[in-house]
Amino acid sequence: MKTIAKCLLLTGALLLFGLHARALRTVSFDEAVRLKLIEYTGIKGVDGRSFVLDVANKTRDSLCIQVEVGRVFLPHDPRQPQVVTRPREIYVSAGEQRSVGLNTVCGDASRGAPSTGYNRFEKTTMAHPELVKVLEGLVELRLDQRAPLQSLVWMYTNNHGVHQLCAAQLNEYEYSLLMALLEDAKGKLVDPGYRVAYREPSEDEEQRFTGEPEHLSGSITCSLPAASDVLFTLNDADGKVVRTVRYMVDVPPGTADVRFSLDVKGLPAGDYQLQGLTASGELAASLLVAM
Amino acid sequence: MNKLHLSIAMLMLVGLAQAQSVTEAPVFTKLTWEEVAGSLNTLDKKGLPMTFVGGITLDCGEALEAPYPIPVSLMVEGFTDLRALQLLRWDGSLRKWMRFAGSGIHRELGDVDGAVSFTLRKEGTYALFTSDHPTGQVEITLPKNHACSSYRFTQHNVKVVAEGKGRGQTVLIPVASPSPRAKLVLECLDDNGTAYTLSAPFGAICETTAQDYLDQSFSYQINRKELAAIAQNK
Repeated sequence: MKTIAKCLLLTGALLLFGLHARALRTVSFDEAVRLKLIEYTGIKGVDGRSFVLDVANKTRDSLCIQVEVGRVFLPHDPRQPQVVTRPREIYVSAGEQRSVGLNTVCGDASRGAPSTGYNRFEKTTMAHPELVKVLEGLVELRLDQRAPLQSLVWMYTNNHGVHQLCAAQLNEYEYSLLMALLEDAKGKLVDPGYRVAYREPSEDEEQRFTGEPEHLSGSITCSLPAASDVLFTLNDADGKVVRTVRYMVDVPPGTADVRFSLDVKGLPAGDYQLQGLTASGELAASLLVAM
Repeated sequence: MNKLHLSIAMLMLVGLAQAQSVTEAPVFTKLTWEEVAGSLNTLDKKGLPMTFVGGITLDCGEALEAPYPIPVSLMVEGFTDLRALQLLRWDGSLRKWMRFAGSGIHRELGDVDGAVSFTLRKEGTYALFTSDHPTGQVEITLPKNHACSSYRFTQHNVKVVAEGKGRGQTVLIPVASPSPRAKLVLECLDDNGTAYTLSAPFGAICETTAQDYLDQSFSYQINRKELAAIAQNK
């Protein structure tokens, strides 16, 4: 009789423990929002660096909320949305409220950054599937820390070109991986052969994208029927020389890729032509440059 | 009247602004060996001759310097070690090639094979030289009471030009291995104080022998008879 009572007591205790100790529930951020498992607010500080997500668990379960790469947090005013560039799992116990930092970049080059205090983000969506694919690929390749995420996102949100990818921190191999990811997502890309770096905005500037070209680099194919000196210049739309790029003496005949890297501070954004002229005035190389 | 003055002042301001906004593109010209041999030399700041490799002239117009450094590439085939090369700027007043700030040369990724690169900003005449040949000198002694005021020695096969002043009766040319075909020009004064120019191949002025080259000793005395013969044959 005593044994039966002990067994019943043990079963009751186990049942009680089981009721309270439920398994950790893993949900996507989208699902957590849709099922109203959480309440959240995103806050972007005025320093422009940190995006902090405040999550409150409204259930009686512990939650593991997966914030996906490519998730976009939309502000309640017409300021910049934030695109998540690195996945994050947020663990919140029942009823708990937590603040976590997320890696994000600006999701619209034409919109201003918060200039007074901070911005609140209370809506969310997902970025263009192609962009999500590329961002995921970068995370998988562990290139998300050095890849030009900002200009990459603007390729999708603001129709920026490949030449505007500021990929200075990537070596040639890493750059080729990035190009392969982009081609996989977008289809065949035509590399224009040059890169334009733009002035970074100062902290008190609203726009994340200044649109002011600072540096131009790339390579141009030079073809010569006979050995000659070649003068490379950057000309504006009216044909006026705005920069002398390089002077090459006694270039042998044939085809050669000539690299260039020049400061273009002070030049207005627009279309330019980089050309190489021989000593006799023949065109040896030409490249249209959009800055 | 005031309005007229104001208008003129405005026009002047606009004109000034336009004049300032017009920036002339720097003009490059290749410096050839013929130009160096004709009017320059290949002497370093110590007056020692170097071998000319290649050069350019940069003209920035009234600005005297380009608003930014401009990369320049020169073909220097056969030079694998860049340390053998030096980039120098022509000093017209000293008539010597001098070092200058930012005279570093390098090979750029993507440079055409055999090319070296450097950047220039100030206008002037720039050239690449090597000075890895042995040092030595040629001593020429003129007849008694004759004096050499200046000399110019041009050796085309090694692209060397040396020039300088004579030391009275003696001329010391700082070249180690003079070719008999090198061109030598001596500006001299005879014992009457009359100026004359001796311009002939080095071998015609100084009778070089194979032994001279073996001994690396080039010391020559020219007597009046020889001088007359040289003057007659030139």
